[in-house]
Amino acid sequence: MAENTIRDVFLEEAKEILRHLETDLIQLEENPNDDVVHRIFRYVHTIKGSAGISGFEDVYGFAHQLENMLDAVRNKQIPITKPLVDLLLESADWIAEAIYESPDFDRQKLLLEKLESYQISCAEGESKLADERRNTVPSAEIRYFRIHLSFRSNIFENGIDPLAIIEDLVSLGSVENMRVHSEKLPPFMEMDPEKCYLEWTILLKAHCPPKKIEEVFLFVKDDNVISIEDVTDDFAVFEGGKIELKERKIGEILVRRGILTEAELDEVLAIQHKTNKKIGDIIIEKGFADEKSVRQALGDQRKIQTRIQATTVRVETKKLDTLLNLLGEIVISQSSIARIADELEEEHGYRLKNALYGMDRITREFQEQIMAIRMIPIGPTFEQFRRFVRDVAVEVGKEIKLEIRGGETELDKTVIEQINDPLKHMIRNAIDHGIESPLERERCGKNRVGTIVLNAYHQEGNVFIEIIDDGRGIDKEAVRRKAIERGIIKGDEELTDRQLQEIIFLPGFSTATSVGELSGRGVGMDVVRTNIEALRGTVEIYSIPGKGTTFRIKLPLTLAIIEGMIVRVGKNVYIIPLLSIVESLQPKKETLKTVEGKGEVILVRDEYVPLVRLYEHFNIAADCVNPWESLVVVVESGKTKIGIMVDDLVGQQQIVIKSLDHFITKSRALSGAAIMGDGTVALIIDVHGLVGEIVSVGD
Amino acid sequence: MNATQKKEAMRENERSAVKQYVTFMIGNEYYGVEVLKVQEIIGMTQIVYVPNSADFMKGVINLRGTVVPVVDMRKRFRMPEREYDMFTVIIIVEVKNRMIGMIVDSVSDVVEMEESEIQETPHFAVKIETDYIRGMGQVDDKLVIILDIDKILSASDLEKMNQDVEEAK
Amino acid sequence: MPQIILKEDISITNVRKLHAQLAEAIEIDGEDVIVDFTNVKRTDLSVYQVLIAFARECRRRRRILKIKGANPKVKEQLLLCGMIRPR
Repeated sequence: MAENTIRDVFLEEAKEILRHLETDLIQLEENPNDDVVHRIFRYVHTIKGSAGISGFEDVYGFAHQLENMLDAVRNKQIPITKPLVDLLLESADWIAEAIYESPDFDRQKLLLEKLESYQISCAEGESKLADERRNTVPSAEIRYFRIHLSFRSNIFENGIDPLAIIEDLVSLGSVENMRVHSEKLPPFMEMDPEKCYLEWTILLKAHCPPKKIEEVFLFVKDDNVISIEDVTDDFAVFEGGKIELKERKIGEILVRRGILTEAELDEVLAIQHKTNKKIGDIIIEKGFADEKSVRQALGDQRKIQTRIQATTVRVETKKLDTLLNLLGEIVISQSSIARIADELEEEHGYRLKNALYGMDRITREFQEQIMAIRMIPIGPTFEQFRRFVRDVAVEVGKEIKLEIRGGETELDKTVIEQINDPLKHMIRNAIDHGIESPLERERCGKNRVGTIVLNAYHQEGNVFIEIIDDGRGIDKEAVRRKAIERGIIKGDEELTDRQLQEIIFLPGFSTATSVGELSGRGVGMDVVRTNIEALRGTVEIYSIPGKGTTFRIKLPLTLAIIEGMIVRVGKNVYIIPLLSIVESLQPKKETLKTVEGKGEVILVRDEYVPLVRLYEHFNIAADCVNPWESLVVVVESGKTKIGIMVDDLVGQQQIVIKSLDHFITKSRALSGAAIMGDGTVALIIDVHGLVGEIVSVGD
Repeated sequence: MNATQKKEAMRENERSAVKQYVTFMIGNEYYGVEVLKVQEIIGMTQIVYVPNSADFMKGVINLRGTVVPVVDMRKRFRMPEREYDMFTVIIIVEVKNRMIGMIVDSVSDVVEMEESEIQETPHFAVKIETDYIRGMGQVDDKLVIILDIDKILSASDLEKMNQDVEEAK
Repeated sequence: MPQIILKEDISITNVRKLHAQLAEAIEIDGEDVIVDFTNVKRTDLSVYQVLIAFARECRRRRRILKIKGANPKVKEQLLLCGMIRPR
């Protein structure tokens, strides 16, 4: 096994651990409790161990000091304060830098000094504490644990050293007895030195509760066989001396478990007094309970046993992408076969189509399963922003609270990765330009502390992500002014509020989303929109001056495969997503009307719907120019309906979406392309975008 | 060897590095593109028109399951258009992790040229914008204009953005 | 008398090499095979595991594995791996 593999695994896992660590450190500040402290300790401990094994000496050393410090925090020797959390955050940052970039030794020295000074000042408090402890309630009672450890053979691959775990374990108490099982160890010449063959059975005498023992194995209990048995009672029974006390306890246990009644217990105790036999034996003799129950009660077994096989498997996203692509190819092949089925005469064609229909259902479910694997909750991504919001708020001198809702909403992993930057940008905007300074807020009668809400939810086959702030909202006048200044609009142009807001997304209009200087931070909202559109999503702004601003991002749930209606205009083939279609009809001549200033409309049921001549909009040749000779497909985006005029309906099928590079077209009416069964490329119509283009033309 | 000498030596190495280029014709000029950037060369095939695209963006094609945009190089260089014939090919190149096809009149040989052989291009010497050109070189008796593919693609991006701002006005 | 002096960092990353070195060492004549821990600063279970297997092989070939220069930490680890018994 190359050294690289261990390092790579470490780099991957360290990333995750550092993320959790950061989240928990922020939590520590807002909501300190034992669990959080403990988790933080374990994260640092794990990184220390893995860093050591993977060759990151400096990180190992640093983490070791940090761990000592955290131990003191854990033992309540160091109080949790904001400066402490700051120091811990800085330390975590240093570790990340040391791992992924290069260690800054000067900063390391500084941090270590700070860490040490904390410990010294607290050590002085410690001796006081130790004295206190000695005078107070006696320490926890002694317990005995029989622990069996069987690690999986490839445990070294993950950078885990079982020996380190065992050392942790024995530090909790003293080893009464130990056996190392080496039966599985092959002869020296045949063994693979990189596999683990050893198992342990340890009888540990400890002062701590079982929970503490379990915690030692927190990070390995899932993939390895770890069994911890509290055998304190057993032990005491065999030891003599306190037998009587212990035995009564056993009896109480049995009563509590419903194995004995109080009356029966009294009888047993009476007999025990007379005969001095063991309570357990008496109970069995008298037939009050079977041997099994007695043994169980005696042992007070708390076995924590997990399966040898991992219940989760790590999969590279690349492999999932490949699977999805292959599935896409299957879908395309299916449509080719369907085509052939069309050409067959009825009997055979019918049977083939039936069979294909069945296969279709299976591919659909297959697709859903793969998509489900790729779906992960957005919660962690949102949580990551806590640190960001905290730091930026401090930087700009504002007080801001971040609220997270809908963290359990799931999105495709790739989408989550790519939505990160746009989200960060919009949050930054909300902080910079949305939320006012605490003073200003008070003057407006608002709470000093501004709120930014990150919200995510599913609706109609889409995922919505909202960034809502209760700041000053978008000043349309200021936008108008800046836009004229930048030459984006003319001074006398009349624009609706919506349009003014949309200007923010135009290139050339940088990060000023409301009153305030153009921050000149380079990246503008147009890039944000482009990034989101690359994911086939849309972003809109809603704002009320003085009250706040909401950015709403809409992303499609199913990335790659959708149901499409195939239509033809002249020689060109287009696809309209089935989800957007309301109905299709061949309109009557009388139902077509032209409205002054609004263009053509067509009567559908009892409402007039704007008519879009697709050939005109796309500037292509069509067979029919008369709507009553062609077909109109009524589609809907949000609340807006339009009727798309096409020559013909070709059919309906599942299609695999291939993305179109941005530079190919500036049309918003196209969301991608698909490859048909016969190999031709069909462009997919983005109904929302098409509506947008129609509307702006109309206005 | 001291630092300056080392630098000189490195530059020498770069200059004498030999690279291979795929050459092709547009009009009566020979152009070249680094062979490493060329994915494949295919014959003219059905191109699907994409509405609202730049005039040199001919459309997209299906390349074994991938949708690849295709640029008409004559139009890109603002040369008069010409009917496609049996010699017209599409050269698929990879630029910034994207594939793009270039329609050219015909494809010629793969030639080798040393970096040092590639001269700077005088402004007046060629009909197309010198931004797209890395230099010119002589192979046998042919003058080959080496194209900077990355620039040609970026230019398209810029073009599109300019048009957006135009529209907003 | 074959002797292997362990490096400062002897662990999963280079345990294969150690295994090969030990395999070579046992072929050299001599009663003892000495493994010197004096320089060892960092190590892990994989090393001790290899030594356990090696010790068995030594016994089989009527050789003696001797461990030299073990500091208290290493001694503790040898204990935990069952290679030595507590006094």
